[in-house]
Amino acid sequence: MIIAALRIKMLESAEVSALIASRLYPTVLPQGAALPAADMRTIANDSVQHLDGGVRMYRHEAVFDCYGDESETADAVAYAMIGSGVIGFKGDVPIPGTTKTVHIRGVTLDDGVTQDFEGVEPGSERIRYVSTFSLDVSWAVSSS
Amino acid sequence: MPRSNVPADTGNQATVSFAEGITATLKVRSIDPSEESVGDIDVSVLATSGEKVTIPEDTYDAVEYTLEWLWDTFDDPPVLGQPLGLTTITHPLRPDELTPATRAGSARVSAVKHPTMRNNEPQVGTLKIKMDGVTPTAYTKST
Repeated sequence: MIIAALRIKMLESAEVSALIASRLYPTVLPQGAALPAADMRTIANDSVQHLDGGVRMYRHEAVFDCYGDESETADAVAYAMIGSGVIGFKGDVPIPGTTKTVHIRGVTLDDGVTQDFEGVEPGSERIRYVSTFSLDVSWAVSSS
Repeated sequence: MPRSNVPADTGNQATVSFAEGITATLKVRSIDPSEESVGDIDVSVLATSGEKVTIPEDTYDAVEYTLEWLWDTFDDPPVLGQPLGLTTITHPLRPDELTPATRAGSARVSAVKHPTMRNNEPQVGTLKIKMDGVTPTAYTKST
């Protein structure tokens, strides 16, 4: 849900869409996906509790892997996504496929961009570069 | 009297209520009582050796509870010294109980701490409520 909301915000950026179009995939990059591209996944989702139960407020950590045939391209995608306006964003974002929204209370950069490389396929000598960063999102369930 | 096979329970669903003063429904995260102790009166005599011989003092400091709650900016904050009337801390009702255990007594607000503002952390207020001894604090066990 939060991943989908962040994806909407990031793809609204002209700089991001110029680099990856809509190739921001949930969880894992599909095999054979055109580059540059990115994927995103949730690695933590802590809820705020009180003695009477939860308050429907959460802290969500999302990791983004940005892929490119060249080191500079992978980095460019990562920094474009970071600079897309999602950091510091506050507001309601629709949940795709539903009539509901989530209220994003704050987005901060958790881990800054690091880079690694990997083989495109097992046994392949062709490599791609992966620039990774993570975001912390505080959010609450909207009333509708 | 029903008795659970589980000897203890967590604090989830515990509540605190005030007869006056704080009208907001606080989203309480923790209820932490102070340790209570009674002082000693030394009644040792000349023949006493080794340990002092003591008797308890007649009076002692009443318990002070520290509450943490999720700060709601729509609510009026607690006021220092504010009387709270009969204040009741209710233990969670366990599945095999008819009535939960409670501890109640008259109290006042003795300390308030407004929330620290920090990234990715909820705003949490801290409130200390001091039982004032006017209506002595009494514990009622569950049934």
